[in-house]
Amino acid sequence: MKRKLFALAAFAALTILVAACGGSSSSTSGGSSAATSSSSASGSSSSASNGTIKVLAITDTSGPNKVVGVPELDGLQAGAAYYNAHGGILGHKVDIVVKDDNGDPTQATTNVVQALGSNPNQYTMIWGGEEGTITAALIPVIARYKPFTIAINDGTNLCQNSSHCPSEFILAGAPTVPEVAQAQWFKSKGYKNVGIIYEEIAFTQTEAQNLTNDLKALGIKSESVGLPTSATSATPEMSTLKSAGAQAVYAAGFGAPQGYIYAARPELNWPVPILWDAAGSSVDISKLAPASQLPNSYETPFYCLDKAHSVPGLAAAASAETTPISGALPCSTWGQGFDALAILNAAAKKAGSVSSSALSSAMTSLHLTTADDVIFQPVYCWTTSDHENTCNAPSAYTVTPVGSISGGRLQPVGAS
Amino acid sequence: MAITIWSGLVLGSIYALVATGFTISMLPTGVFNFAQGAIVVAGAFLSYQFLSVSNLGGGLALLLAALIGMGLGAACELVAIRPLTWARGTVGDAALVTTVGASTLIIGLLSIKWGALALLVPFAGPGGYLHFLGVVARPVEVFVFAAAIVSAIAFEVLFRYTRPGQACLAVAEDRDAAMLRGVNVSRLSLVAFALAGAFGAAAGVIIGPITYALPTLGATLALSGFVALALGGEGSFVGGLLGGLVVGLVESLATRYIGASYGDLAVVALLLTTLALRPKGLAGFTKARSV
Repeated sequence: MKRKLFALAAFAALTILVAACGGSSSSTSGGSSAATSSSSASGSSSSASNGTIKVLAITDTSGPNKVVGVPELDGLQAGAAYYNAHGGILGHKVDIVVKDDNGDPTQATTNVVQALGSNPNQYTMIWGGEEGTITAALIPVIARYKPFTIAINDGTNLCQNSSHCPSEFILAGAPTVPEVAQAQWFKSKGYKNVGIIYEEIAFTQTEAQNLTNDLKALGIKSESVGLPTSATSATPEMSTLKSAGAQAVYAAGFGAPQGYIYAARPELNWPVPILWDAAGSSVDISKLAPASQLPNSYETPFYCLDKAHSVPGLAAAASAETTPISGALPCSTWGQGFDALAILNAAAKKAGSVSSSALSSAMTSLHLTTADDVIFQPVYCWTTSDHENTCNAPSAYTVTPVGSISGGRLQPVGAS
Repeated sequence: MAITIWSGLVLGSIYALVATGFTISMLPTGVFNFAQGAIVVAGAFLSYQFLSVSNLGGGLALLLAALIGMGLGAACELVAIRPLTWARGTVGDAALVTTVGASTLIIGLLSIKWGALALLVPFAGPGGYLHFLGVVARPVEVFVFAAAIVSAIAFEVLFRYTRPGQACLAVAEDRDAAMLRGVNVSRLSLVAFALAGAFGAAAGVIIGPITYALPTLGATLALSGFVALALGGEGSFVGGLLGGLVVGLVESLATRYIGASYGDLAVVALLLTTLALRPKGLAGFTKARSV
């Protein structure tokens, strides 16, 4: 009897702890930015007609994507706090309501259906997922209920045809834009043979393919090798590129693989220049390798919070970004969340209304720059037929020596 | 070629260290503790915490990590294994499910504490590079290679030539007979899991500077360690070492000379071929028994 009770107690404890670790799919008002005013993150359900507009944030705060989901949410909440402190959006205070998707497209879809099913108009804006896979899964649901929605990228580029995304607008532009900028950088440096090593996940494989095409268009030869996700060393793969005569390496990886690629250079006695992809540039690369391995490596960060100088109060807010997870990430991920509120504000001003149809209509006549308080990218615009950021150009992506993150900004270290 | 071989040997040494941990807990219990990979990863995170954040010395970090690993191992036995014995009288296949649950729990706790990003684990030893036989190697890689060999041999000696070790072998051969001879199999099971946990966490401290501290590494190490164990032969530390080194070499050579996508495929092909031709593994042997 005693043993059975012990077994039951142990099983119950295990179940509770596993459930706690697995994260919650219920609505929470999460986020932990030090810069966020608490008034923007309550769970209240006031409608616009009561002086408050609600923004539904579908994001990952507990699962595998929380590394980007949490700072994006922090940016959303910081944006809400910023606009609440500056008269609100069209006089309405902003309230962020968070629904954790745990990095699961199915959970994200369920969250949206539950949120909109009873009253599609209760939310003025939807933040449509922390990354492309989630956003892509939500596109049909968003198209069905037509709430005004902003997302980072849609994974499948469906929103390039606005008929698929009538009320949804994407911050990123055409998926090949960063690779065009990177290929142009290789060309400008005079490289004739570029090695490409990419972690074998969908996003980086796409980046590698895009770059291969762009290099070919510029007359640059390239050799590609994939790095399995289970790899704990990149030396064999880098050895292949060395044997192929690569003069520089484009590396598309995220996290530990970046460290493995750095470690391979001295092991092969091959101090080849490395250019990191856009995804890999979203983390603090300087923390992934000893300082001695960093020279002669470059990254492609998104436009960062240096632009925050033009927005009073934002520099301090960004510098205070110190949450345990997002503290290691550059301002770009945080800035994406912030920009969603800035865009909502601009669209509302243009439309003179916060209704979904008015906001969606206003978006196609917007041309936003940092003068309009957006900070993540230097320019945003959308057209009636294309709801991805058609103004996103290669010039938005600068190649800089790998830097460290300090005070919310990229600080270059180890120039070549 | 030399660099590829050395890279394979280092990789194989990592797998061998994981396989050694599996064998420690498997010998007296017959249980494959899937959570062993997670305990190794815990060791890597603890190493980061003690060396990078708390600025402790290398020896103290290793000792503390081993103690915490011992606790994790013991907890695995008490929560994931012992209740099965009470309920069914034998552990059976359910242990695979419960130890997977334990692994998930450990990885979840690690993610909560340290997040999902990879963390650079420092090496509390000499820096720089060593040059030998056409290879450029980091001192930590040489240390891992040596640790894999020394630990396999040491545990082989411990289990074959010491009384507690022989008790474990007795339980592995015939549990009931061992009990009749006075071996406390319950206590032995707990001690074995605790020892495996301590060794696993210590292994994590050692391999962390190479693999980084990363929650998702647990499953990779568990699977690779299992393959090394199956290839080398269950119940044999030297077999686990051989299996690990062979797996690492095959993976590295296949990746380099056939293609990056063929590394894992080559390992699976090797495993299936070996088990088909020699089911007991490279170092396993069929025991005769009188009836």
